[in-house]
Amino acid sequence: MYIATVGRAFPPHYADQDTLIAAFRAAWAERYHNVARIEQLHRNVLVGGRHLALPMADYLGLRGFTEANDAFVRVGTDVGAAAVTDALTRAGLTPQDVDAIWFVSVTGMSAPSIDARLVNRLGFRPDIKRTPIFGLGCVAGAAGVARVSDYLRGFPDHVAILLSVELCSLTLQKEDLSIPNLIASGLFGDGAACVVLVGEQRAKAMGLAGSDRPAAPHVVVTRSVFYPDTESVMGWNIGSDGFKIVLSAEVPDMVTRHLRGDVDRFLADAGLDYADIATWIAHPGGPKVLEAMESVFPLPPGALARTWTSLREVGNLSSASVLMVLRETLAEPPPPGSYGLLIAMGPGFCSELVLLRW
Amino acid sequence: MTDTEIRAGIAEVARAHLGYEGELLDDTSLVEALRLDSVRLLTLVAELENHFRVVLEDGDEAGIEHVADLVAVLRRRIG
Repeated sequence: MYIATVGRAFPPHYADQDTLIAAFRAAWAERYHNVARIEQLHRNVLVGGRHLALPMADYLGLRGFTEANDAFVRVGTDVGAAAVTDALTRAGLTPQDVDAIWFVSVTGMSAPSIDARLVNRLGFRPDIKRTPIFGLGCVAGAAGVARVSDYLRGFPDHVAILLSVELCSLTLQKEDLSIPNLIASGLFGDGAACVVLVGEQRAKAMGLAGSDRPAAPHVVVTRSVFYPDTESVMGWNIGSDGFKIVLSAEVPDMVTRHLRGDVDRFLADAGLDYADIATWIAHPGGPKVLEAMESVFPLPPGALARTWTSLREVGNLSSASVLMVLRETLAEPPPPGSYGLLIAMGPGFCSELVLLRW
Repeated sequence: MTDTEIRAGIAEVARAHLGYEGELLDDTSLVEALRLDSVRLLTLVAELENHFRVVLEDGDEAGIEHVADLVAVLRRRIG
């Protein structure tokens, strides 16, 4: 289960945070007496700007869930195709080489799913195995890597891809100016990421494994952890207006209360300690989540630098975000033999831990 | 505006925006009664600013534990 490459794609529209704040300001001023407080809320998420599925002016014209979801299918197919093409090209593979695809998203729905549309668009083989997954939210990037690696243990000569498409901007609830929704509208952005994973036999054939100095990291072991009775921590209320955010302040508490112990046990079971982890590939959930991680884990300085950079440059892309961080890590890998920990949390509430080794 | 009216305004905000149906007395702990985490605290502050048409400044929150403390801060800002 080797990670060959990570591709990515963004929709062509981009707005910096000041531009977005200016666009929102009039609506906020109608709802809030102290609009400066709301502006500060948007700045406090430490996001510099975000890619958008649509030109900014088009969001005002979106009428209800149907139009937003139509845009998700249209733009999501485009950016999904671009991310897959980027990933496969980097790996020296074509769509005909792909045996299985996992598609994850929590920001739009379609049947046939986006992955099916990409079979037609990109020319995957008719016998490709498709697994679309909805609902894992931010954890789906890490969970997807884990599930694909499970599959490749059974099919070591296969090529599998994990595609995440998240167009969070299309879930914007223009009428909902509650604090949780305002946090979400300041934090989340749009993008797609695609990971190419190959089984051990295939990795050897591709020259990714089997030598003294493998060119790609492999998945050593993974772990899922579910936290009972935490359904209200994060998620969607789904209704006729689309996806309305459920976001409590307990998310950082989940890191403090659960994640440290989970990682302690995960590493101990692998016979490792924190000093063995050369690189951290963490989901950029938001400043408070990352600060909680930095406070509870014995991290070396700058351990989450790539995660902070990703948050600042493109915002929280839900499941795609941790894969973006993985992409940057592959570009500047740790020394051969090093371990990396890929980690994310999401609705459930739950976490996924993936131990990598270069 | 009297303290009674301010207290009633706080109760109205708490009911409408935080779902709190209980009674708010001077010695009621705000954090405990209203289950104030960071999101709910920000909701309370922003909605109090809306309700009383005031701007709460940094530092106003210092020393606020009970309803009476909040009433005093709001009285000062309402002027």
